[in-house]
Amino acid sequence: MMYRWNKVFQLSKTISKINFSFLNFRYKLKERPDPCFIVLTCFVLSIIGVFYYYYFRLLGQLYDGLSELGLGALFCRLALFAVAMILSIVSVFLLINIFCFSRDIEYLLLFPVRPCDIFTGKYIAVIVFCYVIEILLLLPVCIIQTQYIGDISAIITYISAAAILPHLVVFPLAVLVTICLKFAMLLKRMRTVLVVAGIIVYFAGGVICGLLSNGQIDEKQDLLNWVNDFIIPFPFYNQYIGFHPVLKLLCIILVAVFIGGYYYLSYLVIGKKYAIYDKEGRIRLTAMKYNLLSKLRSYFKKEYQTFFRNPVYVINGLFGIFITPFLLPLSFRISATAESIEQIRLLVSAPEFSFYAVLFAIAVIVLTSTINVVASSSFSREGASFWIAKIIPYPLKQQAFVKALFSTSISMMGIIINCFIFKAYFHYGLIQIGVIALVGISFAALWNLIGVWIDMKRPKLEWTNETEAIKQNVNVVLSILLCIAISIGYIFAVAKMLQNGFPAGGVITFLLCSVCILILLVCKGIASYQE
Amino acid sequence: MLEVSGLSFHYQPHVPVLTDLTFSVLDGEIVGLLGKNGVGKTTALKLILGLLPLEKGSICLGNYSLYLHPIQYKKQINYVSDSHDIYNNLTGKEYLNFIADMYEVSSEIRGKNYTPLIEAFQVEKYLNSPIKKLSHGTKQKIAIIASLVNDPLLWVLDEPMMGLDVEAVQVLKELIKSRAACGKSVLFSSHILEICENLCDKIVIMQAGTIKKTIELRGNSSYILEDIYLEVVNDVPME
Repeated sequence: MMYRWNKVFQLSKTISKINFSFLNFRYKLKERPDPCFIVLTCFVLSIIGVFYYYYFRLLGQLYDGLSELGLGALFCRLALFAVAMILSIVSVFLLINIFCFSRDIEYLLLFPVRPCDIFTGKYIAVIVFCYVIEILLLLPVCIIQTQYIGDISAIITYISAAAILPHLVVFPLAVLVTICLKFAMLLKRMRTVLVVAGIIVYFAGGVICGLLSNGQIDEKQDLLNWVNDFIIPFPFYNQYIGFHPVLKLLCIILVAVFIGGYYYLSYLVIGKKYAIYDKEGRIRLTAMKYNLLSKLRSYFKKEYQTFFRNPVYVINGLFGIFITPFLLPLSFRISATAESIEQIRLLVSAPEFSFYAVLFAIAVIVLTSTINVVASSSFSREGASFWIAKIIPYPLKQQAFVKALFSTSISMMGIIINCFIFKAYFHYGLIQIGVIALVGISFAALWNLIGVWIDMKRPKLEWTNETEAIKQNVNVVLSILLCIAISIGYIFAVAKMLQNGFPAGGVITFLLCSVCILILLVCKGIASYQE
Repeated sequence: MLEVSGLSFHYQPHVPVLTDLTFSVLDGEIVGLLGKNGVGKTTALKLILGLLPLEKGSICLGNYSLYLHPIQYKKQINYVSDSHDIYNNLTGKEYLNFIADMYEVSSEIRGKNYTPLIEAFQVEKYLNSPIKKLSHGTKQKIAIIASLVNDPLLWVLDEPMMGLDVEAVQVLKELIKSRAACGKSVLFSSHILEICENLCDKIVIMQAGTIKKTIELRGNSSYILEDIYLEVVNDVPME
């Protein structure tokens, strides 16, 4: 028995190393570090430090605010609820990537292990990753609350809740994914489609149940009670909070129960044999016909085909582009009432505020389009086939421009959705939309060129799983950070211009001209690349 | 004609992989690059192809230097990798069309170049499937077909027989011979001495990043390549 569990934990360690290539960071530390690596590490660490500092301050202010309102007890509930939400999103991505996209299971099945050993190894890998995120998020919360209450029981509550929370979030999802994978094995196809559909149905069911059970705030029910009913970090939370600290600590035993439970459930679902069938993306083509395209068109077509035929790239690459536009109306829907939406619509069309509405929309588009993972992983995605890009008689700098063109075309889809939302939801005028689209596309082109330029310098070509090329790529992080920094600079500059009474046309001209200059500079940087 | 002179390269400081490598491949010549694992054969091929940056030395093919005219140089060369890593999400046909577009080969010529090769390697039925679904051998066949679309002056092959079935190996051997007969050069690396002995006009044996011995095989049947090779790589003084 112990031998089997030992094997499962060894498997989870290997699976983590395969799927999270940043864990190999420690090998870099053992080598003689190069200056670029040191600078990059310091830069990333300082950015994390700044974010963490502000996160700490924000939590402190939130606790003070809640305490002043006499809602100090709500702090722990809110924090755990937020962490549960974040873990849900993170675990969905992890489960899809580790259970569905990763092909490591094919190699691991060669060893004398049962499929449920590998599945449990994957489950533990997901859980460990969730623990890391949870510790980072909950540690400041725990420190702040302990500081204010001065009672050790708060620490016990957080420790036991932190131990079981990832399991409560991941366990049902993991079981669902396992069942979907079993169906996919029986059908010999549709692995990704089934898993994604299963997760969507699960979340849709959860949201519908939540809405039906809580409903609207009526006159008899006050806000606090409604919040208490609505924000439940995990089932039986109210009972759990009432437990004696010793009993809370004993809840940690549930961790072993969940891991063991998943082991036996996956054995029950998958059985002794498991195989991966890869029939997705079958391409039907008619008779053989050679056609001549120009180099640019042909390369663009190749980019399009290699990107859209790979579900890993589509899901990871397009998530930021297509989801972020919907966050704005969603946040308004949550925070504002119908009356205030009407007021916003009136402000948008009012002559004295219409320009500020345009600037706000541009800021939203500029900031959301900084998530340009398609551009900043464009060379990295070539991976082992990068040699083709180097031997073909098409200069690498021209290839970079085609890649930037391709990623800009994808960003434009997001901008179009954004403009559509501004028109349909906030009732912007057509001229306003035109200006927003023009400036937004210019900025998107700049971000994409920057992304391609950064990735061109040091592409991450060695990866075993396509996800690594997008999600575990330093170039992507660097590009996003750089684009955000430039955006913030622009926001300050525009704010200064408005304070000094610059006219609307002047501000828009400044934005367009300066972006064009930056585009030219980045183009020059790409063109100066030495083959 | 390919002329490589004074080529030096290192991946890590003070650990040279190639030191002053000099050799040439004449028009219509088949040259085999031999050597132990890790002596720098693939690095030499990568430098010739422009996959790695030139540090020292020069490489010229025909009238063009890799350093001065990289695009014209690349138009005259093509390569078959040992790794089968080609664009997995494209179909065989799309890959062939893409490579032909990159070499600016017209529709008529690509049809003329590709059709006999597709028939010879018997891959027509696989061309409409995504490359990721194909076996290693079929991928290699498609890579070989694609590498001949521009009728290269120099055809570079790295372990070309790997993963190929017996029939395909025969086709490849015939292709190599026919290209040499047309005055085009072939440079390949292999560990199968028998193939080198049968195909090559010249053998270049590498050791420790430099050329240890060059053997002219054309019209000289008295050589037993295996003996010579073992003598050279084991550093036994030759009689």
